[in-house]
Amino acid sequence: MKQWKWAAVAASCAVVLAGCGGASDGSDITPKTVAPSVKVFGDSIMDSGTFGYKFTIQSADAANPFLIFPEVVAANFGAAKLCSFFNFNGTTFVPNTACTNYAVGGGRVNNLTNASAPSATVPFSITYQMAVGSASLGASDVVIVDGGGNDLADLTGAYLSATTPAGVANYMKLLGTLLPAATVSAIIGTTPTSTSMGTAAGAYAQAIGKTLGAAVKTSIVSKGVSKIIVVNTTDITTTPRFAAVLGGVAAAGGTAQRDAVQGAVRAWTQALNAALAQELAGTNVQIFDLYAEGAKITATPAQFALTNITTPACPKVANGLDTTTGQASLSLPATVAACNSAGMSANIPVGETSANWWKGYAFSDNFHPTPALHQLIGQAINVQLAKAGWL
Amino acid sequence: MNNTAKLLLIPALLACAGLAQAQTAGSILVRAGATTITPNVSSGDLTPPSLVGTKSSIGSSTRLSGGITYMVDDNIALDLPVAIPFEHDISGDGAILGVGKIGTVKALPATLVAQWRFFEPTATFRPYVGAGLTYAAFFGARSTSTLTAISGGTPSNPTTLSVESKWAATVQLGATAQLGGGWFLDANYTYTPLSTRTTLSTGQTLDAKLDPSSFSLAVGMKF
Repeated sequence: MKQWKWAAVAASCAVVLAGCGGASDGSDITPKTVAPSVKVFGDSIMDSGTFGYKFTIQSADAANPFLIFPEVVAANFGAAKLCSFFNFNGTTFVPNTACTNYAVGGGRVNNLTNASAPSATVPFSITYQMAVGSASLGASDVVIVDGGGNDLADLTGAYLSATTPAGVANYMKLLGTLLPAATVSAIIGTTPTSTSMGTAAGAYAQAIGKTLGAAVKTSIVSKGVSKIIVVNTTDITTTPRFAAVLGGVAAAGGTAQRDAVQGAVRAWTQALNAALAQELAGTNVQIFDLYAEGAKITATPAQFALTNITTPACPKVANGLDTTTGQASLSLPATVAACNSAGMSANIPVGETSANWWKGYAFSDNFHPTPALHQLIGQAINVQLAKAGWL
Repeated sequence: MNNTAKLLLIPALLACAGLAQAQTAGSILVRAGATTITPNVSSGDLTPPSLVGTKSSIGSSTRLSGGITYMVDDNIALDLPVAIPFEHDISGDGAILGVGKIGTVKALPATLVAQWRFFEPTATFRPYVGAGLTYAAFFGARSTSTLTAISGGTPSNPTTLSVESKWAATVQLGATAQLGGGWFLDANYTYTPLSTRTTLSTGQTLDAKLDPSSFSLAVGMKF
């Protein structure tokens, strides 16, 4: 009997334990929301290859280039790899209607200030990109928009050059492309000062934000698109290019003047972002606060596994340097060719020890994020979208 | 575990009805019921690169359970609780509170408890206290597409997670009530101070105290 008892116990026990079959770790790879298409409008940080490359470090594996942040977001909506709608052939932009990324490096909200192509009806104009893409927008598409960084760069450059009567005239001309001339004259006054010109810049920045927001409403919200993400403008004074420009201001006029200029540019950026948010208030648009996210990363880079947030990672090569700052620029083909992950791993700079050194850098060239920073931005956007129930 | 397997338990229990009622030395008590495990999570932060204060929380799980108790003498017993694997939801907390479910993990705590059963073996009501050792096996962790999205992954390069299995001490409070004919009702509460580490396929880790409480209710038979 006792033996039988144990057999019964053992059998019961075996039955219970049979339920604990092993299962390996895994992942559900079907996104929460599968979008038929992800459409992207903006500038270089969102450009998937209008000029044949992305404005970031080039991957040694050319078939699998590093993802930029709109691509990180798009992939999580189940979208295939993004490709550029506008493709520059050296002379003109050739549309590829199979592609849905309309963003173009050098894109501006107000492209009339673009010295190389001042027109509101070219792909450099983000409002033009949206007008073109609007025609094929579906309500279930996901749309990502950014803009304003290049506009602020133009504005700051013109402001810093307004030290002569000709410079002031140019500055007022730039402001006049978006603000009524009478408004510009009234704000600046008969005797322009850095303060009055700065106030005018604030008004211009607000107009940029309002213009971008209005174009989003006209071209995208009006089409019934339910998932729209607008990325606001980050603090461009933290880029290596602006750090160099501000260094020049400090050398010429002292650190107080540098701090004043930096403070002014930040105020304009926040004015732009506030006007953008105000224009989009009451819509279903998710505004991603890249300004705030950038500030978090700048404040605690180690938290984001970044080791260098000030130096461009791309090597300095002949014919690849920004003429103003002498830093590597991905606007120049020589830097694009040299700024390749294989070459960079093989040439470890002084002060670095690992072949993966460039993975800890925030900036690829003097203005554009590295793949690491792109990923951080992409996942921060995704956190916001997950909280909204989209991802 | 399929339903057929669950049903097999019942005849195994019924087959021995009618034996003496007292929980005396040498008795074997077999029980079946349900257990709810509720982690009391105190999450650390996910290691960089991450938003400051990225944490996780873990939900409770209820499963069919049971156990076998061997009376070493009239008061000392060895108890082996068994259950089908628990499945716990893992959700975002702290900086990522509100992103929803980021994964699930199966858990199978293997516990051996030494108990002191109060009162006479023939008493209708016998409270007990116990202490023992648990091996908390975590397996079959499955991340959601949300975790992939918020950790910089993509569907073609999803972020997976694994939870480290750990040994821990367990303390127990419980009681049995005789129902007649060898049947009894058993209720117990256990607490296991348990810390574990979750590792993402990105290489990031998150340490958390789980400190699960579990409550079990079962009907059993003395053999």
